[in-house]
Amino acid sequence: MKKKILMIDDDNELRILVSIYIRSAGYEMFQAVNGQDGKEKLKTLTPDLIILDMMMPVLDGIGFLRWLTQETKLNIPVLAFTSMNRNEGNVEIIGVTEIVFKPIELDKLIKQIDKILG
Amino acid sequence: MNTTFADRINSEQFITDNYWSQVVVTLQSMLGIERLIILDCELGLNHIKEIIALNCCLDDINEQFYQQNLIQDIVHFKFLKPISPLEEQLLIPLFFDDKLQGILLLSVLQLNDNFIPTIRHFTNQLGEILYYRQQFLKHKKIEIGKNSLERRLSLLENITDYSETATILYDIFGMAMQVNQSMRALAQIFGLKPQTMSALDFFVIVSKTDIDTAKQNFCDMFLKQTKIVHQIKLFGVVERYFILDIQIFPYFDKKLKSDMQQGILCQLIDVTKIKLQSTLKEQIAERLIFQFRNDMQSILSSSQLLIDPNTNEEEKHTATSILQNKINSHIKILNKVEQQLNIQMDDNPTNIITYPIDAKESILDAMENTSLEAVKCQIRLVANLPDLVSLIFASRTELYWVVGSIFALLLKDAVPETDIVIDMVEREHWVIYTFKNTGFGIPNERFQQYLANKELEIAEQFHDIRKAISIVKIWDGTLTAESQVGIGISFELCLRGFI
Repeated sequence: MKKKILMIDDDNELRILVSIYIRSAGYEMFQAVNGQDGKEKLKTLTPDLIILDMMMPVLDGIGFLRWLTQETKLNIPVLAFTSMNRNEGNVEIIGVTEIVFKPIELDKLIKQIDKILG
Repeated sequence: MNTTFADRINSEQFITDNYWSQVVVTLQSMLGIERLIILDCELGLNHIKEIIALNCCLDDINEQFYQQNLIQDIVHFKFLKPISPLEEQLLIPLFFDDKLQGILLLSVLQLNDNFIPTIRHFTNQLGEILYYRQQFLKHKKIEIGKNSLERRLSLLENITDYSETATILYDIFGMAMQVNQSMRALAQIFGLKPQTMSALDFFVIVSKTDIDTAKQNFCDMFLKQTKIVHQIKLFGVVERYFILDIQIFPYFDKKLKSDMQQGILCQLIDVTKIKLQSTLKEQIAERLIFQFRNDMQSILSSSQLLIDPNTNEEEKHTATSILQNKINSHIKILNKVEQQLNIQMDDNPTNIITYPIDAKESILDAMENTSLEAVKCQIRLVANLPDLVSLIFASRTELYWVVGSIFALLLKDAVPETDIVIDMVEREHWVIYTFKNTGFGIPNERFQQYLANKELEIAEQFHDIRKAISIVKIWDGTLTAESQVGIGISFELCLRGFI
């Protein structure tokens, strides 16, 4: 059975592109437009991995992570996908398994996903 | 200036311990003096009086001292007991108006070449100060002598008083002699008291430099003729940035035929506008980099999909169109940024209010400023501000005022133990703020009249809101409000976003 990945990012075009590529690497892709939408999706879906943009309107990555780690019993690995600069990114984000800094080549992103999902 | 120097300075200070302690502290810390005693000898060497002493007293002066006559210049001799081979001692006569006013006896561990020329800068003024002290003791007022400090400073004082740069003139011992109008205004805003602070204390307080470093800086200023230059930030109602510039100001003494150090000139140069401009440009650069990383990710991903053999035709078509969109939108952003960066704010003051600023800073500042009042009214300020939001077109200080006016009205109407909620969202190219209270409210029809009907007599808070509405219009934004009885008041502020 294919492993499920939920990508939460407010950039529609980027979500489409990354989804196409990840899907072709053998994963099943689901999308949410912000943290709030991500929360809604998790009511009916239990993904194996969440790819999470940190800076989003409505509910940002930090807010979503706070909810995920403190208010749910879900234990889902999270790959933070961020446009922060690398120095800011050195700060450890609670609840994040791995941080990926944009821009990253998609084959490298797939390697990170493969590593997390074993 | 209409008043004389004697009127302006606090002549009583010359008889206070505080003043003389400051003199001793300055001499000790600037010149590394071990022991010193300042003597009043107006009535001759046999009638000397101690004014102040450091690590010695009148009884430590030996017999040879009283045998001196016609002291004209510095005497290099050990007059202070106990006599130590490790110490060098000097007797320095203190003259003013060609009369001996007093004597300074001091000791140092090492007498370097610089010492005597440097101490002369201090002792020249010490003679004059002793003269004023004697005058005040006799007549309870001072009369200015020939070649007085007033004459030497008058030109400089006139210049500084008319100068827009905030300035303090200190005597060489660091006591304030003149605080100009601009400095007095700043002092009031930032709660400083330069008139009653020494130059060293003023420097320590405004620059937050530790006292040891500050003393070293002052030593270097006196001995190596260096300037002290610091960037500082002061907090009043709004944050302001300054360059603090402290330097010795010289005067050419005709009698000594050399430049003498007259005192300390301290200036606070307001660089808030320059700092603001550079911050704005930094913020634009930060946003641009952020946007650039995001767009580069899409461009990189599209191009990878296009060369990937597993990508089907439909996906390739999607990737191509996304690639084109991203490149086009990025070119638009670059043009917009280039155009904005080319605006020279100095050319036209109105440009400063049409320059993009951080959308949250003014809101947070206004919240902080209102927080005390809110606590008094038992109201909580709750802000839901997203991390990522565009820069907006507004003036930072005016936006702070606008939001402050909104808070003032909401607080006045709010029911105790409720929240004022601030939300912020971004739609298209607009940043929209909402401010809501849980309050008593007023019928909306009347409320709208309060905001628009100029013939109606209204409370001050409504005047401020009317003014706020017109300010927001200048930024091409809108400020609207509604009220309902039993519900409260809500505001919607829409401002143009940048990137």
